[in-house]
Amino acid sequence: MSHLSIKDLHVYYEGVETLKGIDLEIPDKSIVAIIGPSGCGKTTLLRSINRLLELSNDVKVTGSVEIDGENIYDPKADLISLRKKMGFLSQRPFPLPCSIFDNVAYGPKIHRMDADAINAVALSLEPASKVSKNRKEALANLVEICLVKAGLWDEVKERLGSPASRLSIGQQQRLSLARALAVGAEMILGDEPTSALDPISTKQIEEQFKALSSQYSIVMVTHILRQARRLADYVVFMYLGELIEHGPAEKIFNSPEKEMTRRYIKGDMS
Amino acid sequence: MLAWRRFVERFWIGLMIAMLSIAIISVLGIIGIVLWRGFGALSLEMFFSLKFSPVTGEPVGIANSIIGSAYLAGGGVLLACLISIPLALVLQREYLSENIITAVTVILDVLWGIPSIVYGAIGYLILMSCHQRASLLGGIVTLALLSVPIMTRAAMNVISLVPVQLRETSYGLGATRWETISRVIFKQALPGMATAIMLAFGRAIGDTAAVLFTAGYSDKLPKSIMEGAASLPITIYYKLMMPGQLAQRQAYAASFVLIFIVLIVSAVSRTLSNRLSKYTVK
Ligand SMILES: Nc1ncnc2c1ncn2[C@@H]1O[C@H](COP(=O)(O)OP(=O)(O)OP(=O)(O)O)[C@@H](O)[C@H]1O
Ligand SMILES: [Mg+2]
Repeated sequence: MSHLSIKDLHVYYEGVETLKGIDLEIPDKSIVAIIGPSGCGKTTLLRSINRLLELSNDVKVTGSVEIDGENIYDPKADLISLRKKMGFLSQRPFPLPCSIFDNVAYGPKIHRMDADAINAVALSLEPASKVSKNRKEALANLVEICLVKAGLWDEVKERLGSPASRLSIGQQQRLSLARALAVGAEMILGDEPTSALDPISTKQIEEQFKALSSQYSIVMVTHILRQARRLADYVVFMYLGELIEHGPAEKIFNSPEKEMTRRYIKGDMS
Repeated sequence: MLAWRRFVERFWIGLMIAMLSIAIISVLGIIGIVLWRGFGALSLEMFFSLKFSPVTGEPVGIANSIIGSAYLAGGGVLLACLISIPLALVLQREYLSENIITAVTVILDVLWGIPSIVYGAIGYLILMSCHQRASLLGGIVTLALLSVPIMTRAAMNVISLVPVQLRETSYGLGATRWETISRVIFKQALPGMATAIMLAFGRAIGDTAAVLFTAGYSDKLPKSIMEGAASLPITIYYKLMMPGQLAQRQAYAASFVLIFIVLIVSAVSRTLSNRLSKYTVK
């Protein structure tokens, strides 16, 4: 279980300050919803947590994002193992150009996890899971457990070898979740993970999140206030690159301190 | 207003159909003329033998040119692949700065535009300075140099079409740059690469100027890489320059063989491309 804390985080796109000093402690083992109007920097905040931001041109980041006390922006930080701790679900899921099985197995394969490491991830996901000394079998077990946990197993168990790109978008999003679980991620970051999904797939993802939140920290951006109400234990409200208010969900939804938060919750501000 | 919009719509569709027809008629026309002029000379003997005509003493079989061309273009393109594909994979923002990539791109575009006779001349110069005569190896190296810019640029274009989210997905799972490039980007770009290779092969097999001085000509099948080798374009050229009905016909028959090879390679690369795109993300 890892702990995330963000300190004085500033992000500049082409010199324009987009995040204006964010300080935030992410509570462990809970679902954190980041809400706020479009363009306020929710995606930027989420992508700065695992340093995906720097794939864009001309981005400057100052401040720190600490995972278990280690600053991910430290030049000496081990980016690979830090990213491995965080599974990322983007707004639109993207399967890797390989089979369903290989998508889930991608992480364990690139990290060259041996049978013991694979078994450890499987056991952390499901204490009753099968283990094997044989790496191949262990991997197959892990893929199954991850797909079960992501709520996708029953739909794909007959066709693990078929191309992942043929899955429906909702299935692809659940595949992304399985893929993230397979590397042994301890935290899940979701950027409007249900925005491309129909109500049924949305419900499935939400249920998986609920189930996983007993073990994982889940940080999700959402546009849907009702979704935040349904899922979130903790809510972060942002406006124009600033963190306006954050706190336990009941407090934010029922008795927010700031006028701005109250107006947003009431729907006066879009 | 609606009538006008309908007219504009019809105009462009009509124009498109006209252009398409011109393209189809040209291709069929070329194949038709080549077949018509060369039909009399098309024979199994011509393709598979190195026989000489008992009447005129001229060569009848062009097996030497067919095999020679296959070696030259195949070898050249293979060699070019070994340079171009890694080059295209490295010419990415992950490894190099934007300025360097732009500079290399400009250089490649210029190289692409240089006429093949110049490559031939440079290849010849290198052979001379190494005290070598024209050989299969010389031809292959020259064709490879000729193909590298085409293939690299085509491969770069294919790679640039790989969705950025695919990279993010891979990095997000903790992959390194090389793992992302080799396992995700390369796989996604592979079907397009097949087309890039085909493009280069088409240019290499049809090129005369590059092989004229570097591969030379030979009546026999090449036995070693250091021997000179015949090629279809040069055979066509020689035969067209010769007097006599038979030689003329043979020139067209050889042209037909050239077109046929390109068609086959193109069909194979299409099938291959479809196969390879089974797993790619659309
Ligand atoms: N790569 C980029 N280059 C320049 N500006 C950017 C870039 N990405 C985002 N921005 C700007 O940063 C601001 C915050 O963007 P961000 O995507 O974080 O908003 P958001 O809160 O996720 O919005 P939405 O709810 O619409 O997804 C916006 O004004 C946006 O235009
Ligand atoms: Mg966003």
